[in-house]
Amino acid sequence: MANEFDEAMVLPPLPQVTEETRPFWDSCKEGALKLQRCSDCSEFRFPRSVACPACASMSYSWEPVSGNGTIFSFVTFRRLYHKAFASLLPYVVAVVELSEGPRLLTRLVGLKDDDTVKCGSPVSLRLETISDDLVLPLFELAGTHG
Amino acid sequence: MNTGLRDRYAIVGVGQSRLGEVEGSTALGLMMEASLEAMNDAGVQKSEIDGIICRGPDDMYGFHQQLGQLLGIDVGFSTTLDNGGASQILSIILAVSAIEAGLCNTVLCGYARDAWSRTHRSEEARMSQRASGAAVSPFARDIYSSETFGLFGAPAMHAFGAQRHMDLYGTTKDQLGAVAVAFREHANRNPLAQMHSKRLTLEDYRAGRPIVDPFNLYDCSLRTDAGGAVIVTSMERARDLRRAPVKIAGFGTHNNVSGWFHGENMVNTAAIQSSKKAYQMAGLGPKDIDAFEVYDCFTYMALVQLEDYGFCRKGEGGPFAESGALRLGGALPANTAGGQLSEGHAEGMLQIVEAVRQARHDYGPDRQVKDAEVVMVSGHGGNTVCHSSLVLKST
Ligand SMILES: [Zn+2]
Repeated sequence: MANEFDEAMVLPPLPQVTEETRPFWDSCKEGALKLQRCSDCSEFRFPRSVACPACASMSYSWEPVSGNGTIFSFVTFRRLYHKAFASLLPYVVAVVELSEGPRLLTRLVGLKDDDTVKCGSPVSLRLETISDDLVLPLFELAGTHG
Repeated sequence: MNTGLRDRYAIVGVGQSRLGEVEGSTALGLMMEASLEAMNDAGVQKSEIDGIICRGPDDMYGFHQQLGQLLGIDVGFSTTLDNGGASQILSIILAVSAIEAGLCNTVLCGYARDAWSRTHRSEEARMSQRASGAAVSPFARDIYSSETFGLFGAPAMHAFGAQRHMDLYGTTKDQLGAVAVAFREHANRNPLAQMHSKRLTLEDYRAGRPIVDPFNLYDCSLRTDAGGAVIVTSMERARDLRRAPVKIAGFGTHNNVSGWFHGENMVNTAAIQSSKKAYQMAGLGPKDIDAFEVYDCFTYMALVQLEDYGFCRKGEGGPFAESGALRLGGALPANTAGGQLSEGHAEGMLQIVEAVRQARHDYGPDRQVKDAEVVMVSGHGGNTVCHSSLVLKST
């Protein structure tokens, strides 16, 4: 399947998938982002941890999230640090706060020249297939898809 | 807060190594240069040093042990610190604590790096090397898999804070530029500064090479080979030494180790709690500070600390910087030797050295903050969340 890194013919640095993070990356491949959710206080959390940062409980399950959120902050890369991103410059990397609470680091896709990105802008999840083994949880400004 | 420590300890000597692009230098060699100069400045023999607290490049294990070996001394207390740019003031806090505990009497505190020499190439060359993929790990290394999403380098992490501050408070690029321009003017007066001979106007700043918005080249600190060192001892012992001691009036530290992305840590930094402790110990407030040697890894980090140290209200760091307050002769002269943006980046160690020199009135009228008695120093780092503060006072 064609993706935005085809032109560069090189992939970005890959996530280190471990037993702790595999459910996160697998959920992206399965088409519905899942995060850890505390079985005791019901809080969602990210990054992954063996214990809940709210109540320290070690019981949790991987639960789907809505994929809706807002931009907490963002930066726009204008210099190339890695050739996989050459055709994407300038590109926006954002911290997105999901409506469930956790903040993810991600990249914005589907931006048009006249789009305005601000802290607080609503965004929604767009799962992007990078390779057979990797689907990334990227985000787009809410209401811009299709 | 133990206010009983106020004014009981002192910095009695300072030193710095050659600075800038010091071809062929090593961190340990630069650390030795700075250490020997500090001991000479204080009039302290190496046999009198019985504590070493220092920091070097992240990949050098036991930096304090290597320094001790080169000095050929055994000490009662020694360690290498790991709190990023907050470590250098922390070394002084730890020195006072160790002396107070009776573990040692005279402590060498220092930091050195060979950031330019070890790459031996310009930022431009380094970036093009990364862009070709040559120097980048095939795997994203942090807990957020940052590189997978295209996030590279320290500038971007700090730029998140700058962007949020701009959106919340209306801070402008020109206000960030006012920080860069003020510190550059100070470097132009400092013959040892890396940017001594390079002027920077606001127009130059605006035309800076884009890096990662909202930062351009001039928002980012320098790649420097440098070492700095100070000698800490009790006021009692300080009285017998060569130079007028500079009193340690107070210190503080705080660490938002919940992370840069957590809460409002990007715009309310750990400097808030750290400075509060330092003011309390010193029995002083923002109005008593004559000069501010502020940790400026990026323009924004200096700007936000103006608020977090109480020199202006939250959100008003931009207008405060733009007012010219940070210039020599301004309301709050800051980074009077040029700072990490223009003197050289030694993770805050050179800020401590400069604060001591200002408090001792070492300079002529072109560089001396007039009647400076109380100087605040800040240190910030360790993934942008760790902070330490130091109040120094003339004797
Ligand atoms: Zn919980």
